[in-house]
Formats: sequence, structure tokens, C-alpha cells
Amino acid sequence: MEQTFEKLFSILSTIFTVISVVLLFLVIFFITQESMLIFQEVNFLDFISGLTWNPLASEPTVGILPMILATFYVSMVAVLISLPIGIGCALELAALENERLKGFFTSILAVLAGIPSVIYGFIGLLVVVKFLEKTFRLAAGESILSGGIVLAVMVLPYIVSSVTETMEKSYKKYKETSLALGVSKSYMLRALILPNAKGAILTSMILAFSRAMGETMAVMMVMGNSPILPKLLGKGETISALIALEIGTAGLGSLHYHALFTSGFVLMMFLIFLNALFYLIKKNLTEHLE
Amino acid sequence: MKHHLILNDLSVAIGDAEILKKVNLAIPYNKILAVIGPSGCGKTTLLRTLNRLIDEEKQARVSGEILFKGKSIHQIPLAKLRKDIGLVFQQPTPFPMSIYNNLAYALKYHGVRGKVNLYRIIEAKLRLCGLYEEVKDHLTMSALKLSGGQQQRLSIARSLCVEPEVLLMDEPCSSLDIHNTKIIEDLIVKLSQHYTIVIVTHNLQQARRIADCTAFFLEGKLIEMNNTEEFFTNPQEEETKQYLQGLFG
Repeated sequence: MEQTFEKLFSILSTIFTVISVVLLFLVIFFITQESMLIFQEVNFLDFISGLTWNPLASEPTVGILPMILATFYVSMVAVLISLPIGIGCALELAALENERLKGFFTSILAVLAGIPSVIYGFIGLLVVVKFLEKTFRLAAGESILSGGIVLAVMVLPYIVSSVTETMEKSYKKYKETSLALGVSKSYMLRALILPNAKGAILTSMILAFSRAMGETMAVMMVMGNSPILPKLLGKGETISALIALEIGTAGLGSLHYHALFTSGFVLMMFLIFLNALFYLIKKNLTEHLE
Repeated sequence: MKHHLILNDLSVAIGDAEILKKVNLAIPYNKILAVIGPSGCGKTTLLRTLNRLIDEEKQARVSGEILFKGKSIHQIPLAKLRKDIGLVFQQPTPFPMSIYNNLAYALKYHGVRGKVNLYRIIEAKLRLCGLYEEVKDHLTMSALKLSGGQQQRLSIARSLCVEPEVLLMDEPCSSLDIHNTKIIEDLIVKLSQHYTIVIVTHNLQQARRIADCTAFFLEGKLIEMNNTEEFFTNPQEEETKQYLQGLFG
């Protein structure tokens, strides 16, 4: 009886594992298949380096360079804003000895990560966009900067949690040794814990960057969505926003339809590349530590 | 003044557990005091109380008095106290940075500036610990790559860098092999010319080999303290005799 149960369990878990792997490959295969069709009409290089997106004109052009740039730009702004805040937060949390307070802050961060994207977009529209309009006297506050600010808040929990984990470990490990040398806690954080977390900070940056690149709803609501070359205080449109906004109106099988799939393919490739980089660095770091 | 550290009626409790009970002890200048006793008798807590590391534990309560050069340790600023009374832990704990930076870490905090000054002190302490010849060409190498014995000598050198007067050692050889134990023991004897050393050890032979005086603790009480020769050849208390004969512990 026990044995049959064991056997059944192992067969079932194998099946589920296979299903999830197969699903991943199906997604990649499907997107690739749908997007490759476009290259009968457009050159791949023209597609990713083209400056105009006008798939519905009588002579349609599909270039997604502005969207690629906007995606990278807004994600970079987000990471740049959220990294110093996240590192500061992580240092504070790692050194916090009041367990109840630590639990409180950790759950606040978890809640922050659980707020739906559309709510962030909504608040971004009401607060960030309005704020930028007033401060910089803009006609419209929807911009790369507002997208970056909203995204910064959204990726903050990821940065904090992954950096805190490493910092907490080394804080616990070295605290007494460091204190026994007559050194203050803040010096320890600055001279020992922070430099020792370099690797974790780098990986958290990559993780946050890829999160930011894939985020759709909130960015779409605060960025104005014009397929033009992005400026910090000007409108821009990310790849994911482009797809979300236009896929509903694109005729099935049309150039427009395939161009959107190809944009998705490009985004997916960037993200797979970033994830691979993330794992490589992480693996390298753990080996280095051992 | 004959004594470097004097403990008057020192008691320590953590939560409900009484760890040290009314300990009276005087530690002379530039001698090695070995503290022995079975596990859980309060040896480590004693060391942690002397440099006030015990204060980091919220539940700890300390009563009685500890005089460092005649002055209560609570009247000395914490950073100064811990600089003057160094502590070497049981496990070698090199920081995850280069050998050089391990030693420069506390020096920089205590205000030593300039590469030349730093290097002079670091070289002197590495030489003192017999580590200089082994690592002089690898000062930028990660300290984690050193062997266990080297790591422990580095930990000692790091404690010495900030010029303590007293060096507390918590079973510094317990994770080392015979060869490295011998090196560290010779080092401790050498250090006792300039430093007062309190070493906690499980190893009775070690206490006998290196210590000038030996103190025996049992269940938080100081049972007996005497100069080492006298302590081992002619113990006064019944408990000490039994412990030395290996009847418990």
C-alpha cells in the first residue's frame, strides 16, 4: 500500500514537472512561430532599428526602436531611483534587532508587492503625473520619469527582500566579532555589511530591471504611450504597453498582428537574456563564497 | 596596583537562568589565566561580561562590579573598553575581505590614517603572530582562503591591531589540529609578555602547559583559583580534585 502510494506520487510529480516545462516551450514556440511570419515582409534589423511605427498606413512601416529604448529607459530610471532607497532599507532591516518591528516592516513590504499594478498606475496618474506637471510646468505629466517613479515603488520590495537576506546573514555572522573590536554598528554596516553585499545588490538590480521591463499596466497608465523616441520628461511607450494597447484592434494575420507578436518576441528574448545573466552571476557568487 | 581586572561579587543571569554566581576574582597584569570547568559552567559568559558583549543580550542582567585598572568598566566608554579588552572567539571569524582589510578594519575606525601608518601596524602584528612570512605576498588575497590555523592567527592579529591591554580567548584552539594548537599556544605565551591573557579552555593539559594561574568554575561559581603548578599538584577543594581526576565534566 505504502509502496503504491510512493510510486503514484512520484509519477504524478514527474508528470506535473513535464507539463510545466512543456508549457514554457510551447509559449516560446508559439510566439516565435507567430512572429517569424513577419520576416517575409520586413528585415529583422529594420524591424528593431526602425524609428517609425505605422502599421496601418497604406505603406505600413513597423520599426520598434523607440519602444525598445523607452522600455530600457524607464526601467533604468526605476532601478536608479529604487536602488539607493532599497539598499538603505535593507541595511536598516538587517541591523534591526527588534523582531516585532522587523516583522512589521517586512509585512509592509509584502503588502507593497501585493498591490495590483492597476492601482499603482491609478495613484501614479493622480500623484506623480500631477506633481511633475506642476513642478516642471509641463502640458502633460505623462512621461518616462513618471513611469520610472511608479516602477521604482513597484520593484522596491524585490530589491529590499533579496538584499536584506544577504545582509542579515552577514550581520548575524560578524556582529559579535565586529563589536568585540570596539567598532560601532554603523561603521560595521558601512565598512563590512555593505561591501559584502555587492553581489546581492548586483543580482537584485538585474531582477528589478527585468521586473520593470515586463511590467505593463501601471507604466501604460502614466507614460503617455506615443511611439516616439523617449525623453525623460517626454512621452514614451514600452514594448509591453504597445502590445497591450494594440493587439485588440489588430486584424488576425495582418502585418500589424505579426509585428506585435514580434515585439513580444523581442521583449521575451531580452528578459530571457537578463534572467540567464542573473543566474550566471548568482551561481558565480555562491561558488565564490564557498 | 597589582591587578589588571578585579571582579567583585559578579553575578550574571540570562532570563531565569543564573549563569554566574557571586564571582570574586583578581586577574594580575601580564599573566595568563586559564579558566576551566565543564560545559555550561559560565566560562564563556565570564569573558563576554568582561568586555560587555553580554549587554547585547536583552535578557541579560549583570550585578556586582568589574574594575579595569581600578575603574568600573561601566565608567569607560564602550568603544574604548572593547578596544582595551580584546576577544578572540572559538571559531576563527575572518571577515569576507582581504587579509589586509581584515586588519585595517578596526584600525581605520579607531582613527589610524594613512597607508604607511596602517601598514606598519599590520606588519608588526602579523609578525608577532608568526603569520607575516606566510602571507606577506598575499595581503590582498581573501582571508577566507587561509587555512583554519592561519585564520585563527589572523583573528588574534586583528584583535591585537587595536592595541588591547587584555586579550580574552574563548577556546581558541578547539577547532584546530595538534600542530596549529602548538603554534597558537607558543604565541599565547609570547603575547603574555605584553598582554594580560584570560583563556577559556576545555583542555586541562593546555591550561597546565601555558597558564600562570588557573581558575576552576562549576555551575557558575568560582571553586578555586591558584597558580597553575599548585592548582594541578595540590588542589584544595574536593570538586577540583574530582574534576581533575576526570570524575565528571
